[in-house]
Parts: sequence; C-alpha cells; structure tokens
Amino acid sequence: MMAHEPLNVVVVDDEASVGVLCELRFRKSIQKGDVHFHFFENAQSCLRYLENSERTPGSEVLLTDINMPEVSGYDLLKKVKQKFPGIDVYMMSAYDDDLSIRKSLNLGADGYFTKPVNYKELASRIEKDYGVHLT
Amino acid sequence: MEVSTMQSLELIKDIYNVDQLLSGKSYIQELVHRLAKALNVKYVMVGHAIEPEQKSIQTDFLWAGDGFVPNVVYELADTPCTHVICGTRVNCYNSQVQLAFPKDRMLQDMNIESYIGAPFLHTDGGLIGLLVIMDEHPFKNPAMLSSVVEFFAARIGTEYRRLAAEDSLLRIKESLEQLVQERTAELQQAFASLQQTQKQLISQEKLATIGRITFGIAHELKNPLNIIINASEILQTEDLDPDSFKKAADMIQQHSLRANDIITNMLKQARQESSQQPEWINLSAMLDRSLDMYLRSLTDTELRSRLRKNIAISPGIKACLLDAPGIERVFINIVDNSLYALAAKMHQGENSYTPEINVTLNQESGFCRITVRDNGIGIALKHLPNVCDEFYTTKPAGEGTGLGLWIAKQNVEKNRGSFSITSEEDVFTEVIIELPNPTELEVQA
Repeated sequence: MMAHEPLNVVVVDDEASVGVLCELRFRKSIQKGDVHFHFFENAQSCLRYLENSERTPGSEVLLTDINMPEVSGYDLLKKVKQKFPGIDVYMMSAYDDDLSIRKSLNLGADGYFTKPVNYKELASRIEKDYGVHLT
Repeated sequence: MEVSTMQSLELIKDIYNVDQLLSGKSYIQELVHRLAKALNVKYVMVGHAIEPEQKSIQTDFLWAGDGFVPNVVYELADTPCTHVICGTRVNCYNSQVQLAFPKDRMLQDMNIESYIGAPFLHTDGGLIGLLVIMDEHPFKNPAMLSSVVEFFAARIGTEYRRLAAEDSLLRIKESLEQLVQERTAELQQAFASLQQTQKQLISQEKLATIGRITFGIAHELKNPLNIIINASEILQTEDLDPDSFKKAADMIQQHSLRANDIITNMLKQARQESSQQPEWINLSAMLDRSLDMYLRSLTDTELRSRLRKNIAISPGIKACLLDAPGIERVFINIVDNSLYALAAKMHQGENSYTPEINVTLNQESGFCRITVRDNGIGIALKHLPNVCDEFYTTKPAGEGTGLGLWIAKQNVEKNRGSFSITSEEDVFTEVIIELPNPTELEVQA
C-alpha cells in the first residue's frame, strides 16, 4: 500500500451523534486528507453510496452499528461481504454477548467493538491494519 | 301351659316393666334392683370378666340386702362362677352350695346357701360377664328362677353389647375428630404456603417482564454513554477548535438528558406500589412512553429491523386510574406477548412474512379503548377460553408462570375496566382494554 493513499472510513449508525463523534475523533486526519470520512444513518443509503462510488481495495473500512430499524447491521455486513469483498467491516454495538459476536464473525466481520467504543483502541487497530497515522 | 312357666312369664313381665326411657347402666341397675325385690333374694350381682385372661370378675352392680354396695373383684378359681362361664347356660345350686365349693371363702363369709348364675355372651359366643343371684336360704322354685335368670342375663348382655358399641363408636368419633383436626391443620398450612407461593409468583411475573425490559434498557443506556464518554474525551484534548468544542459539549448535554430519560422511565416501570386513591393520568403519554421504551429494549435484532409498527395513540386522552403503574405493566405485558407471538412466527422462517403490530388508543363516550393487535402465531381455539386463567400457560416449563394475562385482567378489572382477547391461530391476536374515563366535569358532578 502506498503510504500517501487516503483511507476511506465509512460509518453507519442510526444515531446521528455517532457520526459527529467519529468525525470529531478523526478530524485531524480528515483535515490533513489522510482519511476520507462518510457517515450514513441507515444501511440502505450506505449501500447506495457504495454502489455509486469507486472502490479502493485495501484502504477502505466500514464501521457499522447492529441494532438499526429496517436493515440491521448483520444484513448490511452480509450484503457488503457479498458485493464488496474488499471492504473490511467492523461492528460497533452495545451488545456484548457471545451470540452477537459469533454471529458477526460468522457473517465475515473483521472486528467487533462494543459500545462505549474505545476509540483509542479502534484508532490503533486501524493504524496497524492500514498503516495510516490517526492523530 | 304349666303353672311354673306361667308364673315365670308373669314374673318376667313384672320385672321387665322398667321405665323404658332408661338405658345403659341405669337400665341395668334398675333391673338388678327389681330382680332382688321380685325374687326376694339377698344378693344380685352383674359383673364382667376381666380381659384378657378372664380369670377374675369385676362386678358392675352388686345388690346386697337392702341396696347397692361397692363393687368388688374376685378370682374365679374354686367358685361356682367358674361353672357358669365354662358353659353357656344357667348353673344352679338350690342349696348347700358351700359344700360344693369348700375353698370359696366368700360364700362362707356371706353365709350363702343357694346360687344361680347365667353368663352373657358376645355375638360371636365369647364371654362378656355374668348375672348371679344368691341367697341365705334354699331356692323354692329353681325352674322358674332358671327361666328368669336366663332371660335377664340375655337382656343384660344386650345392654352390655350396646354400651360397648356406643363406646367404640365414641372412640371412633373422637379419633375421627382428631384426624379431621389434624388434616384441617395440615390443609390450612398447605393453603397458607400456597398463598405465599402464589404471592411470590405474582411478584415474580411482574418482575419478569420488567427484567427482560431492563436487560434491553441496559443496552439501550450504552448508546448515550458511548457518546458521552467519547465526547468528554475529545473535550480533554488540547488545541480543540471552538466549533468542535461546542459540538462535543452539546452531545454530552443531549445524551446525558437522554440517559436520564431512559432511567426515569425504567424506574417508573419498576415501581410496584400503587396508590389506593384514583388519580387522573395522561394515558396517551404513558402508553407512548412505555411503548417507546419497550421497543427500544427489543433485543431480537431481526425482529426489530423487520417489525412494522402502526401506532395510533390519540394524544391527550386522560383516564382516572386506581393503579396507573399496574395498567402500564398490563400494557407492556400485552405488547410483550405480541412481540413473543411475532418472533415465534418470524422464526418459523417464512420469507414473505412481515411481523406487524398495531397499537391504538381512542376516546369513546365515557371510556377509552386500547387495542393491541399482532399478526403473530395467534392462540389456538382450545386455549382461548383459558388464557386469562391463573397458572394457564402453553410456554415450556420455566418460561412462563401462566400469570401474565391473569394479572392483566385483574388489574384492568380493579380499575373498573374490561379486558378481552380475540384470536385466530396463526393469523392474529387482538387484545382490547377499555377503561372508564368520564369527563372531569362528570366526575365532579
């Protein structure tokens, strides 16, 4: 991977505040252009965005909530893994039970963060996996 | 008929003319008295053999000379009585009885000359006791005496048997009474313990729904906490631009309030006590709030995302309730049942199925109506008449107490409302709750 290629971070959560929060968390990297940030309040609009934009394999990460009306995070995970296998998917959920975690991993999730999310841990995980520097 | 027979019959008739109202011991006593007088003899004795050896006699009635004297016990050995109890008939010594029983000191002490005795028996032939007549002179008419003694021994035997029967009846009655008392005490104890168990079960059932909701709510709380914790961390970073600072601070404010709302609602739900005074409450707001809280607490993500909610709660409807928290629990319980039925049907795996819940609250004249309808698994016709019965459940053991709908119905009725369920198996279930809410003007009037 080229060091200067920006990382595409896509966040899906039915709570708008989560988007604001992530954007604040990654604001410096976003300002510097190291991170391209996209936030969606539901799975459908996220899928529409993915279908209508160009993929950059190896530098795309999707963070999604599980418990959302209409299309759940599991469904989104399933569809993304089918249609866009190059995108890594991390779950972010208040559920911390084995069943939810195992189900996510079985559907192909690359990581699972329980809420309240430890953003430092999330950031270091992303830094490690993608070689970007998040300040 | 012979003269002696005639005489005996006359004599028997005369003696037998006892006050027929007498019975038992007083009857026998009277007979003994009359025998002594009519036969003009010194001694008349009625006694029973002492069990189990039957080697001695306890007298029960002892007439001597002019009246009754204290009873005695005597050994049978070497007495003329031995011969009486060995046979089944009369034994008679007209005179000189002492010569026949030289070892019998009592005969000597009492200066007895003549003796006649007859036994009386159990129905199975066993000995009960004997009737003995003795005198200081020889008997004048032994044949007649034999008939009389034999007759009255039989009559006294009947009385003894009757007394024994009465006695045994009394003992049976007493032991039965004791048994009844013991059983009653056991039953009362069992009943008390059942009542206690029932109380516990009812309270468990109330808490069961709340417990499930609390589990969901606890997760629900993590969402605002997620934002509060992370936003406050952002606030602590240096060189934060004013715009970001405001965003983070606003989020903390907003989500702290939200967390507080969640907890407040949860506590309202968990409140178990109820006021005994009717109070006006905003039913629309209460149903809105508890439905929102309940749906948020849903942990079945598939159901949560597929569920179609048709909510039509007319705003501003008030009701005068005795037990508002009770009614709120009923409502949540009914919604909980619906979601259970919807999840059960959804997990049967039919792809085209859309789980749907309809909740309405409407004002009618003088009362308001809550309906909760779902298109879940429904209730089989055979269960429908019983669903509100105590302890009636179709859920597997350990999953339901069978008290939910029973409590619901009781609660609604306590609030002078009505509760009804209609259902078609595999198609729908609809619960209708009607609560009286006359206008406040009508109440004041």
